[in-house]
Amino acid sequence: MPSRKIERGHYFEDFEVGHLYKHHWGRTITEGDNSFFTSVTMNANPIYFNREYAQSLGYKGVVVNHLLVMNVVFGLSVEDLSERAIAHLGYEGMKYLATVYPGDTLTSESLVVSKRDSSRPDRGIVKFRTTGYNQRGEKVLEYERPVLIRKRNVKSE
Amino acid sequence: MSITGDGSYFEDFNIGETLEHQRGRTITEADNHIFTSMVMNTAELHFNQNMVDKDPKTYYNGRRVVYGGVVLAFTVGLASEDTSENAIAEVEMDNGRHTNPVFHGDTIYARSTVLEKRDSDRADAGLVKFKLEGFKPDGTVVVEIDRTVLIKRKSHYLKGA
Repeated sequence: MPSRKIERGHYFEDFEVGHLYKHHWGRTITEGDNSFFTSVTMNANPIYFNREYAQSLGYKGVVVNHLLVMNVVFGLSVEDLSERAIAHLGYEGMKYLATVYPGDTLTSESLVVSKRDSSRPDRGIVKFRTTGYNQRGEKVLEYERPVLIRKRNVKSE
Repeated sequence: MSITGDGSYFEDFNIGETLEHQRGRTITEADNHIFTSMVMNTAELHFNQNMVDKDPKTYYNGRRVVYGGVVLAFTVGLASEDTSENAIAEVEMDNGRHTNPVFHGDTIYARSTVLEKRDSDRADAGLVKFKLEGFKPDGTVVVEIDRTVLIKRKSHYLKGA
C-alpha cells in the first residue's frame, strides 16, 4: 500500500466569512486539571483550590479556574482555526457567562467574522467569534480573536 | 487568621493607581509544552522544533513561541494575590493583545492599573476593571488586557474589622 500524508489545520484561503465551525472532541475538566493549572500558574484565588472557602461564597465546590476555561475552549478551536497560524493576536469582548465545576464537559464552536490581507503576501488576518458551552448547552464563555494565518503555498519573504 | 488578605477588597482599589506585582516567573519549555497539550492546542509552532527549524523566516528565527493563552494565565497568576485573591469571579476581558512573543526562558512580570470601579448586581461585591500588563525585565510588554473582576466588599465580609 502507498502511504498517504494526512494534513490538519486550515490556511487563510480556506476560511469563509459566516461559516460556523463546531469543534470536535470536547473536554471534561477534571479536579486534577484545575488544581495543577491553578498551582503552576500561581493563581492565589482560593475559589480555585479551597473547597470550604468556595462553599462559603455560595459555590457548590471548587470552581474551575477561569483562565483554564478560556484555554480549553480556545484549545479545542485550534485545529479548525489556528493550527496554521503565525500569531494569535489578542482577545476582544471576552465574557465569562457561567461557573464551571470539575466534572463539567466543555465544547466549543466558532464563527468566521471577517478576513483581510495583511501587509505581507504570505499571510492574512481572520477574526473568529468563539463560544464555549457546558454539557447542558449553557454558554460559559464567548470572545472574539483575530489570528494571523498562513496562506497556502506562498513562501515567506 | 483569615484565608485571604485584607488589602485586596473592593474598597482597597484606587482608580488610576498602578500596582506593581512583586514576583516574576521564568516561563520554561515545560510550562509551554505541558499547558499547550493539556488544553488540546494542536498548533505546532508551540511544540515542534523541527517544523520551525525548516521555516525560520515564518517562525521566529527557528524558535518555538510560547502559547499566548499560557502567557496570559501566568500574567493573571502573577497579579492574582494583589488583585483577585478576594474575587468571586472573573467577569470580562477586553482589548487583549499579545504585543510581543515569549520564548522559553523569558521571565515575565505583571502590573495592574485600576481603570474603573462600579457596583454589581449583588450587595456584597463590586466590579473592578484593571488594565493588566505582562512584561519582560527590559520593559517589553508581551500581553495587555482589560480585565473586569467581581470583588468582595470589605463592608460585607469584614464587619467590625
